[in-house]
Amino acid sequence: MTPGPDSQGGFPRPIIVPKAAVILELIGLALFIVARTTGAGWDIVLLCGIIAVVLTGSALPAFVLARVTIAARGPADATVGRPLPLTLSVTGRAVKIQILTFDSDWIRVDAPGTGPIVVTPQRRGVLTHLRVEVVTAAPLGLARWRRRFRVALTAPIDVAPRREPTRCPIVIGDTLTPSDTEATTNGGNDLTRGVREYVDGDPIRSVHWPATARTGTVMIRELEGPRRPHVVIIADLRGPDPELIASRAAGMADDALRHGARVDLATAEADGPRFGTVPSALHVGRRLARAVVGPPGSGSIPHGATVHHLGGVVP
Amino acid sequence: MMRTDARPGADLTEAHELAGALRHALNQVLRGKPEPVRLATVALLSGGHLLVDDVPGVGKTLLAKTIARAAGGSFRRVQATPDLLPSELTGVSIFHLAGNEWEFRPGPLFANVVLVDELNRATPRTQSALLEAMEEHQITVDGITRPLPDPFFLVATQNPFETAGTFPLVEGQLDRFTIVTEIGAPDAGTERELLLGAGGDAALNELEPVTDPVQLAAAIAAVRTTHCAPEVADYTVAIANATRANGNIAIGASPRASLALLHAAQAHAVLEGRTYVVPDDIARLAVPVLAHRLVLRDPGRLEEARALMHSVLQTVPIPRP
Amino acid sequence: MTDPQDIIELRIATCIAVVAAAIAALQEGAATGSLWIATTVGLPVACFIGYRVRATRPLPLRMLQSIIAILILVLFVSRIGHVTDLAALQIPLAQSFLWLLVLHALDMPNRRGLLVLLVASLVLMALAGVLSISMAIAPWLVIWAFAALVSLVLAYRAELEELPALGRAAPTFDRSSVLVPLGVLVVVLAVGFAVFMVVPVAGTNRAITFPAQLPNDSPVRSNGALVNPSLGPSDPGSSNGSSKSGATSFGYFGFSDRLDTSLRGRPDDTLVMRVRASSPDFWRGQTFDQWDGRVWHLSDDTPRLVRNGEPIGVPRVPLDGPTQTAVDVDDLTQTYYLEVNGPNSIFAASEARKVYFPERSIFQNVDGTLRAGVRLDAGAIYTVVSERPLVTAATLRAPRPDTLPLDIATTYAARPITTERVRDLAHTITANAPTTYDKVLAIEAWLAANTKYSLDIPRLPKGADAVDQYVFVDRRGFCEQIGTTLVVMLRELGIPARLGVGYAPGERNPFTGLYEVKASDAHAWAEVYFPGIGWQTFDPTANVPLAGDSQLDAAGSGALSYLSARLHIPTDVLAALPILAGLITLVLAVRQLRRRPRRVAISRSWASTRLARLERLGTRRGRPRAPSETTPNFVRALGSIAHQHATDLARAGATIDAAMFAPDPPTSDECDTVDALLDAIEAEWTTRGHPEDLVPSGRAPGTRSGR
Repeated sequence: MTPGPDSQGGFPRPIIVPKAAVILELIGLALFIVARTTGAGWDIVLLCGIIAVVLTGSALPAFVLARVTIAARGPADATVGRPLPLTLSVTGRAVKIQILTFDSDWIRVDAPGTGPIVVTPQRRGVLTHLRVEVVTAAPLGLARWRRRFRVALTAPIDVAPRREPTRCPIVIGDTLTPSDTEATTNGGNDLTRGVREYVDGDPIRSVHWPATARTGTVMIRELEGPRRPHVVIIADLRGPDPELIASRAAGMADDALRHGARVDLATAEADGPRFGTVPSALHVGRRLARAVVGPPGSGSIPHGATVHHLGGVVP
Repeated sequence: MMRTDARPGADLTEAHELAGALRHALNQVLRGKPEPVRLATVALLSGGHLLVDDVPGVGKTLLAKTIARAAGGSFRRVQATPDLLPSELTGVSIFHLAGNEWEFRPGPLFANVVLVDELNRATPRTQSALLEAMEEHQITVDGITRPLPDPFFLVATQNPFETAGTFPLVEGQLDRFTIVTEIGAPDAGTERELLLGAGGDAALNELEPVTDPVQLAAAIAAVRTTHCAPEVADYTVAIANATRANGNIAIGASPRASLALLHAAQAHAVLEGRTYVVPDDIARLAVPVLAHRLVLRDPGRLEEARALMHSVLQTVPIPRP
Repeated sequence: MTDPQDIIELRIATCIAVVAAAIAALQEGAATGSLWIATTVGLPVACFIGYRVRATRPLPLRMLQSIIAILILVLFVSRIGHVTDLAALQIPLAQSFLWLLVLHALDMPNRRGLLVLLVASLVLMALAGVLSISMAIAPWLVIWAFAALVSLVLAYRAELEELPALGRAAPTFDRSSVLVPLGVLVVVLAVGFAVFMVVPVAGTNRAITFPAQLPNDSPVRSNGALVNPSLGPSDPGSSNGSSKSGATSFGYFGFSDRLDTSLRGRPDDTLVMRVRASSPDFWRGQTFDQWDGRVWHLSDDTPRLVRNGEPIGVPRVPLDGPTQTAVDVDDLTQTYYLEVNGPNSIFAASEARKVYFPERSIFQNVDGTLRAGVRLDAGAIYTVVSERPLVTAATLRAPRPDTLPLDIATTYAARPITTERVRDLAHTITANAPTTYDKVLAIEAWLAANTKYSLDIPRLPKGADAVDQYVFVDRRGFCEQIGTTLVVMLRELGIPARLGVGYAPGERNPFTGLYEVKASDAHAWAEVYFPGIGWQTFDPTANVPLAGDSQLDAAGSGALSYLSARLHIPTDVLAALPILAGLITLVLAVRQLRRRPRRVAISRSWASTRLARLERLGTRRGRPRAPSETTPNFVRALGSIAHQHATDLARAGATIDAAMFAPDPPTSDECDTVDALLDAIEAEWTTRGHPEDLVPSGRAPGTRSGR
């Protein structure tokens, strides 16, 4: 009955008997009284029909629900309070579904298929499962049944905190220091440095002699942007309002990134403290989505970096 | 973030998402070139290597740089010149006086993504050393074998019209490249956009890595698990046989070429979000994967091999049950 | 998103349901000419107008509606002014209701309005059910049920349609809108039949008033003498002997002032009347007291006029038995619906106490049986409430101190005319029987053991005693012989007995709940007097339980045998059908609950045929598929011909490829989608597959040559 190893569908349960069924039952009762007092055989036949329709109509939605399977996926990232388009694949007909996790609007499923459903996350964190409620009274609309699913997302969604606009003061280091170049050459994956190490085949006239002299290795000029300022943000969620701290840290990191700074973020995650560079706002969101209350990670804070400490236990 | 369940489909899903992200990143920088971008992504995901064969100024280097940047990991670039020595690529052992021992100083090949510009300007000796490293994924210097980083992806460029002072690659060496692609000049609209600052280097500077070497290696491994129905394998073999039977082709596709085609098709299937290969994957990649490996009776440019490969493809029927 | 009121199919289905219910009600007697037209024509027209003006709902129309509604009300009030009893109120009520329905159909603003209409149709159907005494309602019931189910299904879909759809939105009305209700109907029939087998029978008529009417406005009157139109004016019995048979009518020669047992006749299966009663009994026409060895006579045929209010209270006559019975009594209400012109006997289970009759007076014979003062033709309806002593074997055996009333002893217990050996036999058989009841049983047992029931018996020889001939010579006979023998033997033993004639209960129609009495159910039986209790009917040939033993059955009992007789299908097969349907439903249900989305087992051959279909479509549109062309390429090319299907075609191509090359084949739902798409495209390209469509040209659509 479970559609996949990750998705658990509960058993169908009846919820409400709608007015139509109540009316039918009342008419059935009236028919019974009429038949018993007038001896009208056809009304007994009609009564049997009504009983059969009510019985059948009450039981069939359970079978409709039994066929339903749900799979869900979404983008890797989302933000609290911002629309999050999820993609649901539902097998089933004539049912309506609602994502309980987000208290979404009802949406109907006519035919097996895949489609988007837009929800608004209200809580920060890593989303691995959706709770989905499926309701139907198909085919006759006489009794409503519901079935609840716990649907595993194909990939977890990191729900980033709401951005609290926060200015990030940056102290800009103006000179190249040996430690900077160290980071440059060992970083490897970063092409936008002012100078880089010589690789075989580089033209001799591109050599940046002053840097070569200082470092002792041949450095090649690359005519690209200036040094980036360095900001370290420590987001310690152990304060009274962890969500506010997360929101502020996100806003601050965004601000720093907008000003072209390299941003290191220190947080606590479920499997321990974490310290690392966040190259983009996306990564800021991901890191803060996974952040939990706990001692933030520590790392070597480079010379000239601006450090901002947010939250923490107030002494 | 770690998933506790290990479904075969789950890895492929991740591989698909990674491939999509890579392609998206490449398209951001290399505007209006979906086909070269697709082929580059396929080459990377199939665990092979890419040769970009085109005139200067169309963005060969930009493509390679973008791949390197988007894929994360280490990147090295080599400018091939006639005086480039094999040891300058592989690295050398030098005697360390202080420690009284030999110390190996790795060359530029020890990186996840290596760009070799103007490959046909290097001497055949250097080319051989390079291509051997590509095939073996390891380098032997002074009797010691050292593995190259994983993943190891080599992008080479060459200018087909430059002949003076070059050493054209022979067929056996071209065979090492999974895919040979051209980029082609941008159309007017795209060129205008480029001039106005969209895409290109500006976009490259804004590009963030979409993955890291560990994820990429896992994705490449996952791609190999893509299901290939026997009929699809038969279709691949039929294409290879058709090249061997063609009168205009002196030497047709080798079994290694068929295998490369299949691996590339697997990567293409993953890129398209499938967990299985369909004949369309094979048909779309047959020309870029096989054309450069053919030896024609009348040796000519790659263009002619491509046209010939295309006509061969028209003769092979699609498998149906 | 469609506005549910725009779903024309929902309106059509509802309209059909209402019209079917209205026709069913009309044909059961709620009809006037104008109402027939109003329902059969007016209802659909009103539904249509209601659909057309659903958005605007013009003011004049609404005003007209209000005026008509008031008119209907006024008409109704004026009509009930003349009505004195409640039963007569039914018809004007039903008529007004129908008129209001027509009016309401004009104005169905929303889904709820449609459902109200559906409930109204159910009420109409129930009304028809109350009025109906025949099977004529059945086809309309089936049509109504199906249309109502379709309505319900569509109404629920319309309700869902108010929500946004995930993925592909299905049309509200498609093949499944008919197939689903059909499936549901089958299940409902099976479940309904099972319910039918357990719910109690309709029960006793406990209404305040009962139907009574005559078909003709000016009835032919008589003075209470027996008139039987099918027997001729005078002396029907002996006039032309055995050729006299009661064909096609009430022409049983028992409904006369004499009953000649030497006559032979075999009535046919004509339906003579229907009887609504909560339990079976003998529908008695009259009794005979005088036996001359061959013929039964009435010793006193001078009926008294009874005019005793409304309903007519039937007084007790001396020969009828004690005024106060020693056992409990119950009332059995019987309504008789005459289907052919009958004698003027008023049939009743013994003993009639109240008669609802269209005339103010009736006649009562000395033995308590009733006659009408008018001719009772086909269509006549009357209701009799009888009082039956609730006897069981035990109460009949119980010794009673009461003495035999003198009247009864002289009229019914005198030594009968018969042969000596019959007298001896009577004493011999009953020698060991202590009570009257046991004596009756002993004689019945002896007759059952030593004679055979047969309608084919030789003619009674001249001068022979009928009882002697039956018991000692022929040893075969039918109800007349058996009943007469029982009466004669009991009289010989000094027990008061008489011969009752009338009808056996007939077969109960489980659907209408009415007993269908045929000419061949005409019957004669023995009535035995028990002091303190009264007359008790005995008949070894007809199986009618004692009143105290009869109990309420399930409504559906007998339905199987009733249907099997009419459909000519053996009962076993018929009984197996619902059981089989139930089993299949159960198996399907269990499978449905256990299985995951169905996988197509042989998906490759599926894919092959679908690809071939696509290829045919391509060829037809001048874009054949090359053998080396891949499926995605080909469907892309087709998509550029049929732009509106481009996306669907791409998906179809992917599904076909998946079916051929994927490790696990696509789900049946995906396959169904492809089939639906192929059907759609094929239909589209066949109906308007003009060559012009092949090449996108700049020609204006108007220049296309019409077909």
